[in-house]
Amino acid sequence: MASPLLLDRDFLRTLEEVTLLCRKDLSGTIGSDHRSRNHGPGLEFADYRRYSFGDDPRFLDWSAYLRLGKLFLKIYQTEEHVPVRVLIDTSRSMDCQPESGEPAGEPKFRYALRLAATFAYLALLRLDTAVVIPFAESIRKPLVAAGGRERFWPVMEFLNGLGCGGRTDLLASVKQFLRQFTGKGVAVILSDFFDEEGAERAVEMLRFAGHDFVLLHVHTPDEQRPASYGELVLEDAETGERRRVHSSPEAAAAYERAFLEYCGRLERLAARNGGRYGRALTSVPYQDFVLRGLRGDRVVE
Amino acid sequence: MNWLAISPLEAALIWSALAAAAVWLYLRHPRPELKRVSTLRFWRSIEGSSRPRRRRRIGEPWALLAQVLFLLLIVLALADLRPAGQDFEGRYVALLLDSSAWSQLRPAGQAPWIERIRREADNFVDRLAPGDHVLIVSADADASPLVSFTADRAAMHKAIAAFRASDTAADLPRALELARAAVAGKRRSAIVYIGPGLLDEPQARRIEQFRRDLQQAPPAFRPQLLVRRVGDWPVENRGITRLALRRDTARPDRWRLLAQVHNYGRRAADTTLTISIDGRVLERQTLRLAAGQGQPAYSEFTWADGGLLEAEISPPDALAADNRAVAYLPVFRPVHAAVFTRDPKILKPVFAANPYVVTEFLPPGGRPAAVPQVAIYDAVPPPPDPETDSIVFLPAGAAKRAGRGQPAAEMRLTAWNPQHPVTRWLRTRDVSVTAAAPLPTGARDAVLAWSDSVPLLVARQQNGHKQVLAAFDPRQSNLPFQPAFPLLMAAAIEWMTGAVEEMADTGTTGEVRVAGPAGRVFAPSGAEISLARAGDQLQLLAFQAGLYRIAGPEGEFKLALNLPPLPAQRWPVTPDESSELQAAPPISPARRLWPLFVLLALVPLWAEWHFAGKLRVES
Repeated sequence: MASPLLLDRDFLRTLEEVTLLCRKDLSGTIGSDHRSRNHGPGLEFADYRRYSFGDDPRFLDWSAYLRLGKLFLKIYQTEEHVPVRVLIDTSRSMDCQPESGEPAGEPKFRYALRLAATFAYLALLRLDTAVVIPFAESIRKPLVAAGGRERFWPVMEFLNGLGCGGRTDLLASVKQFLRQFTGKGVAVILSDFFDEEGAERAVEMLRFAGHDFVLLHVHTPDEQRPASYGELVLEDAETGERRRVHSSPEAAAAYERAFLEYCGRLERLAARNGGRYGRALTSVPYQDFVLRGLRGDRVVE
Repeated sequence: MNWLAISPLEAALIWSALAAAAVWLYLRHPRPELKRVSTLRFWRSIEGSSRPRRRRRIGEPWALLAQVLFLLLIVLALADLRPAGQDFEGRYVALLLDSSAWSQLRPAGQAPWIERIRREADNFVDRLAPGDHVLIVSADADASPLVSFTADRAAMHKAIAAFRASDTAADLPRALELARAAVAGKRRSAIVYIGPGLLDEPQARRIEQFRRDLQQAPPAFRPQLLVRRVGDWPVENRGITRLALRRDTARPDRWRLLAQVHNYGRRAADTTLTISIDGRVLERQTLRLAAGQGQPAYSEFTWADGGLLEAEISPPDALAADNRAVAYLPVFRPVHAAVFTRDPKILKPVFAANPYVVTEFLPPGGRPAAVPQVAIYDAVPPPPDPETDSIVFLPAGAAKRAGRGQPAAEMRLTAWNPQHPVTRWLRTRDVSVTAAAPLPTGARDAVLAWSDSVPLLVARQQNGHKQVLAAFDPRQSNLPFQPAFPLLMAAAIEWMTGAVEEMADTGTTGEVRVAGPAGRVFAPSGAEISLARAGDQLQLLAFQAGLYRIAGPEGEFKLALNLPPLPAQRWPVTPDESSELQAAPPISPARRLWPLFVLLALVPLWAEWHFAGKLRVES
């Protein structure tokens, strides 16, 4: 059972200075601290444009009219509520424990829970709506939290109550997600992306739906490069399939190459579809990953 | 190189086994570990480089090589390898210990000779070099090894302590030949005899021949012959050398006895011979025995019952074993025969001369006083189903009816059956028969006599009874007047009732041959002894004097075996034979290499640890 404190207090305080970046103009409910590319009623000046009939005369810039004799309308940047939807993979593959003796003893699923909590907190911090959606073969009952960081505690409780089970079906889960959450928003997918069917279709659907999505690839060091050598019988955590292999340094190197190639494919897929991709190695402390790794991937600033 | 602890073959076998075990351990792979992973997709994508090995491979061949080398050096250390030419191979000594009856001799006030033989043998063994191999042989009528060639002193002393005297005369040439065969082909060998060294004349000649044969052997392989005589000779001893009994031919219950007594001493001696049966003394005789001479003693006595006859001489002397001899007297049981005849004058004289048959003459149809063992029908028709063994002379009329042809006027007996016990001693041809007819013969009948091809006498066995059928009336033949007739009748009765034992002769210990089939033989001690069959005889080795029981298919009989005449000629020992055993070549202190091998073994041991440790670290 995971500890209720997925994020410690100091880290939460640090997160107050971190902002989740959106790369798309997302229409949401006005009133958030989240700046939008939409212009409208806001506090922050954005630009001028010529007055045309029908514009609200309250936004006319009378000083400019006195100097130039022309009517200009002051344009303000709208601050909208952007729903942040965190899809967290709860399939059995997320429950695989890293091998003992590895540098990072953090279980993969717990690592993903921490990241989900981080994104939810970042959303709540900016008065956005945070939605935590567990999924495996399909999405499970989500948690919607809104109204500021005071609502973060239920998110923690929800995350702590999650367990792993079932196989990953990203496409089915995304389809269901898109049917259930029609509004655009930021979609953060926390998964190991070990779906046999691949992630292409799911990502394309997210793009078509207009979501600003982030693929966060959570994996352990052992999943990147096997550490056990010799004759092994490997069992797929999701399918139960067994395979007898001979693991050697050469085989491990080939394995790592295949893994990194897969990661590259995911990254290119995300980029091609206007999304972002980040690789969360569980051996890296999650605080470092959030503050450095995600910043490097232009997910937060 | 000399391998003392283990032979090169044994060392090679041990090393091979250990090396094979090491290779097996190196090739042995533990059961593959089951590991749960998030996905197998990447393993599938690198199937070529992660395919399990079908052939087992040694993970660290250098470690294995080091270990095999380590094992080799350790085995060499255990083998106690020594440099060539510095070690002593050891001599091969065949030690013959005299276990004949003479070794039982105990001179007054001295230890028994067998004790002195043991002491001498122990001293001899103790003086041997460590590498000497000794074969110890007990020399009596047989020559049986007590322990095969060994360098183990404890085993030698144990065999000497277990060495026992027998009741036989030693066959020393036979023991010497066995010893020579045992040391044949061996360098620095010796044959050593320890004992009283008493021979008879033939043995003395064979030993001379043995010496000559030894001299003809190549010097390198010529065994040294040494003789260690024990005890002084002559000794004051008297012994019974023969005991024989025979029945009186006219009175079967009358026995004649012959006992031969020998004086082995250098002084004349008076000896009392006591004859007793089952503890009842029959007679005492005093014999005056000259020095070194034997004397027979005769006796006659009447004794119808069987029993154990003992002959004993007194006073006691140095050797007790030959002071007593035994013989088994068989019980005399005459055969009861009933003769049914109208005219007994033909057969009466025949049976009157035979003391072993008690006859009762009866008219035809008469009832005998007791059930006879043999019924004789003299020209009287026999009952259709005889209840006893019988001899039938068919009457002339019956003979006519029994045959299919016409009775011949006169027939001459032309042949006897020499194979059958009834007629095997009969040779006479001057026998004629009238009014005889050919006898019908069955497949199991044996024809005893023919006239040309016509059977005149037939032996038959039916319904458990034996029968001799004559196709003629004795009155119609000249056979009753022939010497062969009583012999024919006696042999027929003997075939039916068994032989009468006329002898009660005794045998001597050693190699014994007994006629007749036998199943088991029991020594006087009650122990069953092994035997061999040679034709219709059985052979056994009897080392103990007394009464032996021989059990066969036809019952049990007893055989008395006494000590044979003991050899009384001392072995003339030559100076060479009385010399000491040739000294063993000087043994230079052999440089032992095992510490060096142990030190060398540490190097591959370290290398194996190093390479195997490296492999573990890589894993």
